[in-house]
Amino acid sequence: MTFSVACLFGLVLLAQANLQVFHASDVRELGKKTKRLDQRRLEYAKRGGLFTVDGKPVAEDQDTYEFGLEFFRMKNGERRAQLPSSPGFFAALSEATDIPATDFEQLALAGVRRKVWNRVMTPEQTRRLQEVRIRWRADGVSLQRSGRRVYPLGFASAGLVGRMRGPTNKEVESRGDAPDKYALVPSGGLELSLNEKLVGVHGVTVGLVDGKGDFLPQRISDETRGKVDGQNAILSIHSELQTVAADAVRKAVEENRADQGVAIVLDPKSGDVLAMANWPTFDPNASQDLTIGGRRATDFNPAYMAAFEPGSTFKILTLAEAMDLGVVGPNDAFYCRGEMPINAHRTVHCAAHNGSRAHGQLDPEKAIAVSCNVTAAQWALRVGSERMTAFLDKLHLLDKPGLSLAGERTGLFDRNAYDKRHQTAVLGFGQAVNVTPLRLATAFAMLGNDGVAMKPRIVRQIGGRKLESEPIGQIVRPETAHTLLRYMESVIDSDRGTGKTLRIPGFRLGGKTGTAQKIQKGGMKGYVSNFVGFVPAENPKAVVLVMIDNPTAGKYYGGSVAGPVFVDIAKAAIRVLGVSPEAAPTRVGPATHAAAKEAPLRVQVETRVAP
Amino acid sequence: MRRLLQGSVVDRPLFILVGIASLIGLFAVYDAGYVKAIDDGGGWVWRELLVQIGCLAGGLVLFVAASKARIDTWQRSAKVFWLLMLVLVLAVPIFGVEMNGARQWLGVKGVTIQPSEFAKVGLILYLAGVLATRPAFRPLGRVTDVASWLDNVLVPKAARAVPLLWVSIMLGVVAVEDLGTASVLACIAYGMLLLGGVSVASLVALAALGLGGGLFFVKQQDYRWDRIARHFQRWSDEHVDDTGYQSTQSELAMAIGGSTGVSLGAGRIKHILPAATTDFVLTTLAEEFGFVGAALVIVSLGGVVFRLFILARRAKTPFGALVCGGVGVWIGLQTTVNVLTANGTLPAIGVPLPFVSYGGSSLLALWLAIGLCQSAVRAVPEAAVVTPGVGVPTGRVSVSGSR
Repeated sequence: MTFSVACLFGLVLLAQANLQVFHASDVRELGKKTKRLDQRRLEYAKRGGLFTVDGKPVAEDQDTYEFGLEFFRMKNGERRAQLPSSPGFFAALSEATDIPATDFEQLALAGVRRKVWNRVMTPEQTRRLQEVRIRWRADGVSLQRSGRRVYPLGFASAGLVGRMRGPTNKEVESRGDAPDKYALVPSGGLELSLNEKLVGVHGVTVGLVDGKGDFLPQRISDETRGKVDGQNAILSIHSELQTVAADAVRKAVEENRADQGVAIVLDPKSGDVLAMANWPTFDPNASQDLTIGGRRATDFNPAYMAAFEPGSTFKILTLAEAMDLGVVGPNDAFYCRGEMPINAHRTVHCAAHNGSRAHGQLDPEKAIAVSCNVTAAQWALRVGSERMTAFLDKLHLLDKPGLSLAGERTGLFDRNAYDKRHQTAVLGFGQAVNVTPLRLATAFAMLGNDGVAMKPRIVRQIGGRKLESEPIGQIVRPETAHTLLRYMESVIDSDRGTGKTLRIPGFRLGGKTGTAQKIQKGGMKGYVSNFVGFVPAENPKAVVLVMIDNPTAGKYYGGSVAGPVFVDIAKAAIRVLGVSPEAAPTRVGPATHAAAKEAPLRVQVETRVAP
Repeated sequence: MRRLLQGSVVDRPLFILVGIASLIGLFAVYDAGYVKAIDDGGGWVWRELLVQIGCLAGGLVLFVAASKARIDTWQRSAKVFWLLMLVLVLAVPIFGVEMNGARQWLGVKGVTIQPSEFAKVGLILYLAGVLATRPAFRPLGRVTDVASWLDNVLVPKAARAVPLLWVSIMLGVVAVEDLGTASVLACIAYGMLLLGGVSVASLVALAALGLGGGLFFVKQQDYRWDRIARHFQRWSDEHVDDTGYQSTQSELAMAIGGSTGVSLGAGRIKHILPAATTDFVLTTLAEEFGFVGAALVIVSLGGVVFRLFILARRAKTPFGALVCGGVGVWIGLQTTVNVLTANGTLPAIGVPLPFVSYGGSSLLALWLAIGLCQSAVRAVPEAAVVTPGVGVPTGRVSVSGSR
């Protein structure tokens, strides 16, 4: 009898040892597998915000969650309940969410599989919901960071900033069972390029919980870590300039029935992009708008994704290089007959104006003011093919814009052209080369920085790290830059200038118009109307580049299509950047020139040499 | 007091072992219960612990009283005690109060007792009395045909089984609300029949009857059948939060405790299991102190049982031997079933761990029973020994281990 007792208790001890010693890890595994051991509670990290240089938010996370219920899941053709269906559970849910319990009961009765509430849950509500989830062991209760990221500047910053889009099915699948598998994905722009810095690390508490769902302090695992919010970034963008630029570009594109348009404002001293706007674009705050302002919404931003011929605006750069090299002097006289043969086969032209192509005798300043192709071709030929190419390289004009944005493209230039003399001649007035608007703006900006080109900078600070502006290099001597700025002032200031309608009384502005023809599929189709301007003309605080692609409403000259955009932006820049009014300098140029007074804006023309 | 206690303790090892188990119990009730106590606003020392301490003191009083009374006095009053218990148990379905969804208590002004715990003592006394004085069976006359077999064998045999009818009534009443306790009662009765030298044929027949009755009561309530039938699927998705919840959580806690435990106070199971201080009290000990802690409890209770069977051999009267054996079966059975339930070997039946689980009635009844066993081994005058009927040697009681 006593032997039997000893045997029995021996067996009991063995059973106990079997569980606690021999098979303890197996049972722990079972607990993990059935999710009845460790509980994980996520604390969502906030995605970093983007702010303008004047402190306004451009992209910001709202700290909200959406709450969802998965009533059942299909597994091997069978319904597996994911939620308890007791009235007590629904009452607890209702208490946590302020949604009537009857709503849940009705959904359960109706056999709904999954339901997500699009209401904003406060942090307190999310905490209570997580408690309900654990206490009732309700796997079907889900809390997702809702897609609430707001873009206060709306479409104005969309092309630059991009947006957060919903994940595709494939992306959701690839994230497996991650708790934030429905997290949004950056679609492009700065949201994508800065993604690594913007995303935070979600915090997670792993451990054992008591009956109420609170973690037991002594039983929290080493996996537990606090959340790290994403870093905020301060952009070089100025909110007001950006908005004004976006509105102005939109207006110009719509009024001229153009394909697309871009406006870029740079600080020539630092390379800061003060504004970069385009139209058409998209509304980052709309969840699924396929159209915007009656057009197809697009995230294509030509400012860095497209390359255009710069056209006549390029004459400035040609002249700058020619004068810097000393091959053209300020008093050199050129004569324009309206056309100039380059070799036996090819001729360059000026476009017809006042019934004639000829500009007559011109000095460089006048040639810029009236935008004479023949003269610009002569400057380029004096510089020569090799030095012109080297000049493009020195400016890094053909490079990608260098903002690390997705979709940036390079410029185009045929370094092995068959007819280099002709190529150089037309390059003089901005043909035979394609550049991104952002690179072109950078190149012009050096004239406002004593000839030193600056790398474009769009992020001034990320997290605690300040990003310094970097120079590309001294492109031309400071005196040359100053001279060119003065010449550009006369484009607006002189009555013969192609930009004379763009004056803002009391302020000295400089600029240059341009109208490039586009080659498409072997033929010529449409124009790109350009304008590059400096605010103010002396010691400029902003350089503005406007490009309007394919205006079809009749007007296509840079001065009349792109010019008004410049004026709108210049007015805003004067206000925002604190440009003080100055007395206009003595008018240079033939202010009383009878012909010029009659001459409409059309003095400025380009032609394209027929191939 | 000390002298009183010394006078009561006849067998010191049994008293010490039971004392150890009870002190472990006080500690366990505190450790496994303070979390709920705080949650319920009771503070760090709360009702359950105070009740347990009070009942331990009360148990000592019962122990002294039971031990001081001579075993033959107990034998003479066994039937009275039994009748009292039977009445109390029968009163439960009529006047009983419901707690935790079961009607197992009798209550007067907030003080509740669980008659079924005391019924265990009553049952042991009653059956010990019946078996100790029962003469060996002799047919009344010669068996020549079926009629004479009926007259001379079956009817007298049936008459000898009348006490089992009373026992069955009690079992049936208890089983309606508390199948676990009823099973324990049935097993104690069976064990005593085994020890009392009931014939093998009768034992087999009774086993069949008992199993049938048990099955009947299991089938009465769906949850009982579910727990048993789904025990092996307790880890599956459907059952892990449902019928398998208590078992799986307890197993997990013990597995996490491993060999040496997660340290004092760090246990989790007391936060989540409703029966943390009662049926699953071992889980907290096993979680916080590991296999070492669990083994200490099992060994100390095993020691109690072991000692009781030794005392059964040393008892001065057959009645006393049967009492010691019956108490040994009781404690041994509850300990094994409780431990095997807590570690998931058996489905959750709902049997408390003797001396350790929270429960005043259980503690009082156990100490009373231990007092009886002390009395059983105290020497009695020769004349007081109540012997079985003619021709039956006292050595017949099989707890003597001679068989």
